[in-house]
Amino acid sequence: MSRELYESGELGNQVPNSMPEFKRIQQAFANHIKSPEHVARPSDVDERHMAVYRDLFFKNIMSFLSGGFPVLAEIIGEERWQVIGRAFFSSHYNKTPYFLEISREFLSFLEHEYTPTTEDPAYLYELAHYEWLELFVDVEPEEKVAEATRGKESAELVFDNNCNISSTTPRMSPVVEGFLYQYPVHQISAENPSVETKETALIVFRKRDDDVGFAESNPFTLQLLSLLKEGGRTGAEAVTLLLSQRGLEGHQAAYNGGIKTLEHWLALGIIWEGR
Amino acid sequence: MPNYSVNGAGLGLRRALLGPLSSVTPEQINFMEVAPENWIGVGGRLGKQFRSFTERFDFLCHGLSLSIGSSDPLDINFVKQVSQFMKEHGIKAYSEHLSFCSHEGHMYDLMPIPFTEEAVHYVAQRIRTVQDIIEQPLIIENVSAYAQPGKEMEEIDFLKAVIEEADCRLLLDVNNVFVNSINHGFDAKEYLIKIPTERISYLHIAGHYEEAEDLLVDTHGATVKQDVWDLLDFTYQHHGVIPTLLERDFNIPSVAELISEVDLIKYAQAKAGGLYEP
Repeated sequence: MSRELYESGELGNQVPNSMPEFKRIQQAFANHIKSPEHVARPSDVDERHMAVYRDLFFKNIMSFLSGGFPVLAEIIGEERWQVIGRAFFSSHYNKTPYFLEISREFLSFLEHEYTPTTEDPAYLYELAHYEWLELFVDVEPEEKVAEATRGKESAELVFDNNCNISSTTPRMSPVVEGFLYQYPVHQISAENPSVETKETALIVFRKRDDDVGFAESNPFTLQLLSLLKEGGRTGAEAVTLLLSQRGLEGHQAAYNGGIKTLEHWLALGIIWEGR
Repeated sequence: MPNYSVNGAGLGLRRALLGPLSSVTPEQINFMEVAPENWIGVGGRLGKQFRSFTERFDFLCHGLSLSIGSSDPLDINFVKQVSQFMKEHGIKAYSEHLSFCSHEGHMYDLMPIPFTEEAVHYVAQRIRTVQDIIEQPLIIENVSAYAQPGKEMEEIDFLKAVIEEADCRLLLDVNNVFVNSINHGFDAKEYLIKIPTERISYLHIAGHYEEAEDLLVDTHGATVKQDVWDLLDFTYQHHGVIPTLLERDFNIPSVAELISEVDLIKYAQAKAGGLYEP
């Protein structure tokens, strides 16, 4: 690709001939803001005024990204973070009109469109996912989760940690997600940026006071969590099913361990009540 | 007096203000405005706090992502969600910017629509589509601009043509008129006089940043400049006393300072009320 073509704006601004003139102008304007290094400035706008737009837009995007991924931003460092931010802004098709969902768009960009360099930490995507998860659990509407996971059952959740969790049906925190990461993402910080691979199961959930709770788990209990989220089983039935799926039918110690996990989750607020 | 959907002096509500403003009364701040894009699909503690505000205050939606002038297709599903959100919270009206903020995807800030005849028809048609969905008039705001790409007519003529053709309402941002009068060299009062009074739903006022003597940036990050207060007085004198909202999005000061600036709007309204003969 020749530099001349870029500078003439032709590469960044290929448009069908039928496009109305004002749309051509808008396209040239928008594409220059997205990729000033590759798309020439519109000829009827001077540099000083165009710079106002370029700066406003890019700072705005970077403030969404740094606000959504503060740990990642700090570890990556300002210069590299800006390069990734520019790649996101210039190439990703942002579908969401909602500001809090820009984080999800960025996550999707990292997963599908971004090619990490050797400078990037290997856990880049996983750390971003974990930071996004905290936001998701904080703001996701309860009704939306209830619709997806509990069908029509809409009785209000109460908090009752005196219930017998094995003989009743555990009802989960309204927003609870468990993930198995390949890195201990919850231990990564600017002070601790170098971590080794280590399978790490984490549960993030909305607490009774609407705060976000975190708990370490393991692949076995993550599976128990997903059985409980399906609903319709007592604690004992869920544990029994889990054991049979794992080829551990009748294993009393494993069964006791499962029930203990349920009681622990009830105390933490991952399970809110049993019915 | 015309019948407005809100009254008095208002303030834009931001997430950072949920805590600080929790004990403010509707006598202090008569109405509020939110960006639906910050609140649709938000539950948990933020959702509950927000609900406590819409239960107590008169609210307007002031959107940022509609992108009414964009080449991208109008997001019909989004407009329906805004409409639903307004019903859920008893929000009285929906205002948006006469600009575009997406091109092959959202860009999350405002760009200037070229002031051309073709663009007038295009934008007016899209406004009509939105109005059909929300089943009420859309309120369109004049925006600050730092460039006028492809300009074939004056901003005021473009604005008026869109409003007439779309048969919509106007949110007149007095600060934006001032900012543009400096940036593009026109007479702010002449612009204001040309606005059809009966189309105005409410006013915005805000602080801006002086990047250079001839280049102002609409930051909403400072107190309102005296030039803009003067222009607000002029607007009241010419168009009558109109509900007016203070926008403050950055460098947010204490609640006491915010309320005292809202009080300055009330003062201007009282002052003009004595002068104004309907």
